[in-house]
Amino acid sequence: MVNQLATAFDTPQYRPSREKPVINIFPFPLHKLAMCSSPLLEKQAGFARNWISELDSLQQHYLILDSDHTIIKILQEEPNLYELLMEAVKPLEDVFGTSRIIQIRVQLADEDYMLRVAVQLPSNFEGEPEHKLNSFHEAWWLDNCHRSGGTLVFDYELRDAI
Amino acid sequence: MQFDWREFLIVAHESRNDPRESVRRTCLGRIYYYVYHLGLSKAQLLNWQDPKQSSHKALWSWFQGYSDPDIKKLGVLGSRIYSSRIDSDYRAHPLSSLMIVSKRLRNAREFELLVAKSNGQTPPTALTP
Repeated sequence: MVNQLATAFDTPQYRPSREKPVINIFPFPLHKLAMCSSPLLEKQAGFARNWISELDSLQQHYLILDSDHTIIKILQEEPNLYELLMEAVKPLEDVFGTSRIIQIRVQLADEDYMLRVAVQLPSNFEGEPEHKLNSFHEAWWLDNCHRSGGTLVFDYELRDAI
Repeated sequence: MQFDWREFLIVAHESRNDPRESVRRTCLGRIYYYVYHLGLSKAQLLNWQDPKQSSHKALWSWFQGYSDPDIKKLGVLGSRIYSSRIDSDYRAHPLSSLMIVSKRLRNAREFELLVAKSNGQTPPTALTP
Protein backbone atom coordinates (compact mmCIF):
# COMPACT_ATOMS: atom_id res chain seq x y z
CA MET A 1 0.00 0.00 0.00
CA VAL A 2 2.70 2.47 1.00
CA ASN A 3 4.72 1.62 -2.07
CA GLN A 4 1.72 2.07 -4.35
CA LEU A 5 0.93 5.47 -2.90
CA ALA A 6 4.53 6.54 -3.10
CA THR A 7 4.62 5.64 -6.78
CA ALA A 8 1.41 7.57 -7.41
CA PHE A 9 2.89 10.71 -5.89
CA ASP A 10 6.24 10.45 -7.65
CA THR A 11 5.32 12.95 -10.33
CA PRO A 12 7.09 16.25 -11.09
CA GLN A 13 4.55 18.49 -9.39
CA TYR A 14 4.72 16.54 -6.19
CA ARG A 15 8.38 15.78 -6.20
CA PRO A 16 10.14 17.40 -3.25
CA SER A 17 12.33 20.43 -3.63
CA ARG A 18 15.97 19.58 -4.14
CA GLU A 19 16.86 22.29 -1.67
CA LYS A 20 15.44 20.32 1.20
CA PRO A 21 17.82 17.93 2.91
CA VAL A 22 16.88 14.34 2.37
CA ILE A 23 17.57 11.82 5.06
CA ASN A 24 16.12 8.47 4.18
CA ILE A 25 16.02 6.50 7.37
CA PHE A 26 13.46 4.11 5.99
CA PRO A 27 14.15 1.20 3.65
CA PHE A 28 10.79 1.82 1.95
CA PRO A 29 9.93 5.08 0.18
CA LEU A 30 8.26 6.76 3.14
CA HIS A 31 10.61 9.74 2.70
CA LYS A 32 8.89 10.52 -0.58
CA LEU A 33 5.59 10.89 1.21
CA ALA A 34 7.02 12.88 4.07
CA MET A 35 8.41 15.47 1.66
CA CYS A 36 5.21 16.12 -0.29
CA SER A 37 4.76 19.87 -0.10
CA SER A 38 1.16 20.32 -1.28
CA PRO A 39 -1.18 20.81 1.69
CA LEU A 40 -4.14 19.89 -0.49
CA LEU A 41 -2.48 16.71 -1.61
CA GLU A 42 -1.57 15.86 1.94
CA LYS A 43 -5.10 16.48 3.13
CA GLN A 44 -6.62 14.49 0.31
CA ALA A 45 -4.29 11.59 0.79
CA GLY A 46 -4.46 11.63 4.57
CA PHE A 47 -0.74 12.23 4.78
CA ALA A 48 -0.83 15.44 6.77
CA ARG A 49 0.53 13.31 9.56
CA ASN A 50 3.96 13.38 10.97
CA TRP A 51 4.73 9.78 11.71
CA ILE A 52 7.92 10.50 13.59
CA SER A 53 6.11 12.99 15.79
CA GLU A 54 3.41 10.44 16.46
CA LEU A 55 6.00 7.85 17.31
CA ASP A 56 7.64 10.34 19.70
CA SER A 57 4.30 10.91 21.38
CA LEU A 58 3.75 7.20 21.81
CA GLN A 59 7.22 6.80 23.26
CA GLN A 60 6.35 9.29 25.99
CA HIS A 61 3.81 6.83 27.32
CA TYR A 62 4.93 3.43 26.11
CA LEU A 63 8.12 1.45 26.01
CA ILE A 64 8.21 0.31 22.41
CA LEU A 65 10.32 -2.79 21.92
CA ASP A 66 10.44 -2.81 18.14
CA SER A 67 12.24 -0.60 15.66
CA ASP A 68 10.87 2.82 14.73
CA HIS A 69 10.60 1.64 11.15
CA THR A 70 8.42 -1.32 12.06
CA ILE A 71 6.08 0.71 14.23
CA ILE A 72 5.75 3.54 11.71
CA LYS A 73 4.93 1.08 8.99
CA ILE A 74 2.17 -0.41 11.11
CA LEU A 75 0.82 3.03 12.02
CA GLN A 76 0.66 3.81 8.33
CA GLU A 77 -1.09 0.60 7.48
CA GLU A 78 -3.59 1.05 10.29
CA PRO A 79 -4.03 4.79 10.92
CA ASN A 80 -6.53 4.26 13.75
CA LEU A 81 -3.93 2.69 15.99
CA TYR A 82 -2.13 5.89 16.95
CA GLU A 83 -5.27 7.56 18.28
CA LEU A 84 -6.36 4.40 20.01
CA LEU A 85 -3.02 4.00 21.75
CA MET A 86 -2.98 7.62 22.88
CA GLU A 87 -6.55 7.40 24.11
CA ALA A 88 -5.77 4.20 25.99
CA VAL A 89 -3.15 5.83 28.21
CA LYS A 90 -5.54 7.46 30.67
CA PRO A 91 -7.86 4.49 31.19
CA LEU A 92 -4.81 2.25 31.63
CA GLU A 93 -3.37 4.64 34.20
CA ASP A 94 -6.71 4.98 35.95
CA VAL A 95 -6.80 1.25 36.52
CA PHE A 96 -3.16 0.25 36.96
CA GLY A 97 -1.64 3.48 38.29
CA THR A 98 0.42 6.21 36.69
CA SER A 99 3.92 4.86 37.22
CA ARG A 100 3.67 1.59 35.32
CA ILE A 101 5.81 0.68 32.39
CA ILE A 102 3.58 -0.20 29.47
CA GLN A 103 5.30 -2.18 26.74
CA ILE A 104 4.31 -2.39 23.12
CA ARG A 105 5.70 -5.08 20.88
CA VAL A 106 4.83 -6.55 17.54
CA GLN A 107 3.84 -10.18 17.44
CA LEU A 108 4.36 -11.98 14.18
CA ALA A 109 2.82 -15.24 13.11
CA ASP A 110 2.83 -16.82 9.67
CA GLU A 111 -0.38 -15.20 8.64
CA ASP A 112 -0.94 -12.37 11.10
CA TYR A 113 0.61 -9.64 13.14
CA MET A 114 -0.62 -8.03 16.31
CA LEU A 115 0.48 -5.21 18.59
CA ARG A 116 0.65 -6.42 22.15
CA VAL A 117 0.28 -3.73 24.80
CA ALA A 118 1.26 -5.11 28.20
CA VAL A 119 1.28 -3.30 31.54
CA GLN A 120 4.28 -4.47 33.53
CA LEU A 121 3.34 -5.32 37.11
CA PRO A 122 5.47 -6.42 40.06
CA SER A 123 4.88 -9.94 41.34
CA ASN A 124 3.62 -8.42 44.61
CA PHE A 125 1.11 -6.21 42.82
CA GLU A 126 -1.70 -5.33 45.21
CA GLY A 127 -5.05 -6.39 43.85
CA GLU A 128 -6.04 -9.00 41.33
CA PRO A 129 -4.50 -8.03 37.96
CA GLU A 130 -7.16 -9.91 36.02
CA HIS A 131 -9.88 -7.87 37.72
CA LYS A 132 -7.95 -4.70 36.97
CA LEU A 133 -7.69 -5.63 33.32
CA ASN A 134 -11.40 -6.41 33.23
CA SER A 135 -12.04 -2.96 34.71
CA PHE A 136 -10.03 -1.44 31.88
CA HIS A 137 -12.01 -3.48 29.37
CA GLU A 138 -15.32 -2.38 30.86
CA ALA A 139 -14.31 1.24 31.23
CA TRP A 140 -12.85 1.77 27.79
CA TRP A 141 -11.68 -1.11 25.63
CA LEU A 142 -15.02 -2.79 24.96
CA ASP A 143 -16.32 0.51 23.62
CA ASN A 144 -13.32 0.99 21.35
CA CYS A 145 -11.96 -2.43 20.40
CA HIS A 146 -13.88 -2.43 17.10
CA ARG A 147 -11.59 0.40 15.93
CA SER A 148 -8.38 -1.65 16.01
CA GLY A 149 -9.23 -4.21 13.34
CA GLY A 150 -8.14 -6.95 15.71
CA THR A 151 -4.56 -5.71 15.80
CA LEU A 152 -4.38 -4.41 19.37
CA VAL A 153 -4.40 -6.65 22.39
CA PHE A 154 -4.17 -5.27 25.93
CA ASP A 155 -2.82 -7.43 28.70
CA TYR A 156 -0.60 -7.33 31.77
CA GLU A 157 2.58 -9.17 32.62
CA LEU A 158 3.77 -10.02 36.11
CA ARG A 159 7.51 -9.63 36.61
CA ASP A 160 8.30 -13.20 37.46
CA ALA A 161 10.03 -13.73 34.15
CA ILE A 162 12.72 -16.37 34.09
CA MET B 1 -17.63 -39.51 16.00
CA GLN B 2 -16.31 -35.97 15.82
CA PHE B 3 -13.36 -34.97 17.92
CA ASP B 4 -14.29 -32.94 20.99
CA TRP B 5 -11.99 -29.91 20.97
CA ARG B 6 -12.41 -29.60 24.74
CA GLU B 7 -10.05 -32.56 25.02
CA PHE B 8 -7.34 -30.02 24.25
CA LEU B 9 -8.37 -27.98 27.26
CA ILE B 10 -8.35 -31.07 29.47
CA VAL B 11 -4.86 -32.04 28.31
CA ALA B 12 -3.60 -28.51 28.99
CA HIS B 13 -5.26 -28.54 32.40
CA GLU B 14 -3.64 -31.85 33.29
CA SER B 15 -0.22 -30.42 32.43
CA ARG B 16 -0.75 -26.98 33.98
CA ASN B 17 1.79 -27.48 36.77
CA ASP B 18 4.56 -28.86 34.60
CA PRO B 19 7.32 -26.22 34.74
CA ARG B 20 8.98 -27.19 31.46
CA GLU B 21 8.85 -24.36 28.99
CA SER B 22 8.06 -26.72 26.12
CA VAL B 23 5.06 -28.12 28.00
CA ARG B 24 3.79 -24.68 28.94
CA ARG B 25 4.06 -23.57 25.34
CA THR B 26 2.21 -26.68 24.21
CA CYS B 27 -0.50 -26.01 26.79
CA LEU B 28 -0.97 -22.46 25.49
CA GLY B 29 -1.36 -23.77 21.96
CA ARG B 30 -3.93 -26.39 22.97
CA ILE B 31 -5.90 -23.89 25.08
CA TYR B 32 -5.97 -21.52 22.15
CA TYR B 33 -7.19 -24.08 19.67
CA TYR B 34 -9.96 -25.17 22.02
CA VAL B 35 -11.09 -21.54 22.30
CA TYR B 36 -10.62 -20.96 18.57
CA HIS B 37 -12.85 -23.88 17.55
CA LEU B 38 -15.45 -22.96 20.16
CA GLY B 39 -15.38 -19.38 18.91
CA LEU B 40 -15.57 -20.50 15.30
CA SER B 41 -18.65 -22.61 15.95
CA LYS B 42 -20.27 -19.70 17.78
CA ALA B 43 -19.41 -17.36 14.90
CA GLN B 44 -20.90 -19.77 12.38
CA LEU B 45 -24.16 -19.66 14.35
CA LEU B 46 -24.01 -15.89 13.84
CA ASN B 47 -23.47 -16.33 10.08
CA TRP B 48 -19.72 -15.74 10.04
CA GLN B 49 -18.22 -16.12 6.59
CA ASP B 50 -14.75 -17.64 6.57
CA PRO B 51 -12.24 -15.18 5.11
CA LYS B 52 -10.06 -16.37 2.24
CA GLN B 53 -6.89 -15.93 4.26
CA SER B 54 -6.12 -16.25 7.96
CA SER B 55 -9.22 -16.56 10.05
CA HIS B 56 -7.63 -16.03 13.47
CA LYS B 57 -7.26 -12.28 13.78
CA ALA B 58 -10.25 -11.81 11.49
CA LEU B 59 -12.43 -13.95 13.75
CA TRP B 60 -11.61 -12.05 16.94
CA SER B 61 -11.92 -8.74 15.18
CA TRP B 62 -15.33 -9.78 13.87
CA PHE B 63 -16.53 -10.56 17.40
CA GLN B 64 -15.17 -7.21 18.60
CA GLY B 65 -17.34 -5.45 16.03
CA TYR B 66 -20.54 -6.71 17.63
CA SER B 67 -22.70 -4.43 19.77
CA ASP B 68 -23.64 -7.20 22.21
CA PRO B 69 -21.13 -6.83 25.07
CA ASP B 70 -20.89 -10.57 25.67
CA ILE B 71 -20.01 -11.20 22.03
CA LYS B 72 -17.49 -8.38 22.14
CA LYS B 73 -15.91 -9.99 25.20
CA LEU B 74 -15.47 -13.20 23.22
CA GLY B 75 -13.42 -11.17 20.75
CA VAL B 76 -11.31 -9.55 23.45
CA LEU B 77 -10.71 -12.82 25.30
CA GLY B 78 -9.96 -14.74 22.12
CA SER B 79 -7.51 -12.09 21.06
CA ARG B 80 -5.62 -12.29 24.37
CA ILE B 81 -5.36 -16.06 24.17
CA TYR B 82 -4.29 -15.81 20.53
CA SER B 83 -1.56 -13.39 21.57
CA SER B 84 -0.16 -15.99 23.97
CA ARG B 85 -0.38 -18.65 21.32
CA ILE B 86 1.67 -16.51 18.92
CA ASP B 87 4.37 -16.08 21.55
CA SER B 88 4.37 -19.76 22.40
CA ASP B 89 4.74 -20.87 18.80
CA TYR B 90 6.77 -18.07 17.21
CA ARG B 91 8.87 -16.30 19.86
CA ALA B 92 12.03 -17.82 21.29
CA HIS B 93 12.18 -15.37 24.20
CA PRO B 94 11.16 -17.10 27.47
CA LEU B 95 7.48 -16.87 28.31
CA SER B 96 6.68 -13.77 30.32
CA SER B 97 5.11 -15.46 33.30
CA LEU B 98 5.25 -18.79 35.10
CA MET B 99 1.54 -18.38 35.72
CA ILE B 100 0.59 -17.87 32.10
CA VAL B 101 -0.97 -21.33 31.64
CA SER B 102 -3.21 -20.92 34.70
CA LYS B 103 -4.15 -17.47 33.52
CA ARG B 104 -5.15 -18.70 30.09
CA LEU B 105 -7.06 -21.66 31.56
CA ARG B 106 -9.14 -19.14 33.51
CA ASN B 107 -9.64 -17.08 30.35
CA ALA B 108 -10.75 -20.21 28.48
CA ARG B 109 -13.26 -20.98 31.24
CA GLU B 110 -14.60 -17.45 31.02
CA PHE B 111 -14.86 -17.87 27.26
CA GLU B 112 -16.82 -21.12 27.42
CA LEU B 113 -19.16 -19.66 30.07
CA LEU B 114 -19.90 -16.71 27.80
CA VAL B 115 -20.55 -18.97 24.82
CA ALA B 116 -22.87 -21.18 26.85
CA LYS B 117 -24.73 -18.14 28.18
CA SER B 118 -25.08 -16.72 24.69
CA ASN B 119 -26.35 -20.04 23.33
CA GLY B 120 -28.72 -20.57 26.25
CA GLN B 121 -26.89 -23.79 27.13
CA THR B 122 -25.61 -25.31 30.34
CA PRO B 123 -21.86 -24.66 30.48
CA PRO B 124 -19.43 -27.59 30.58
CA THR B 125 -18.29 -28.75 33.98
CA ALA B 126 -15.50 -26.61 35.35
CA LEU B 127 -12.11 -28.28 35.56
CA THR B 128 -10.72 -28.41 39.09
CA PRO B 129 -8.59 -25.36 39.94
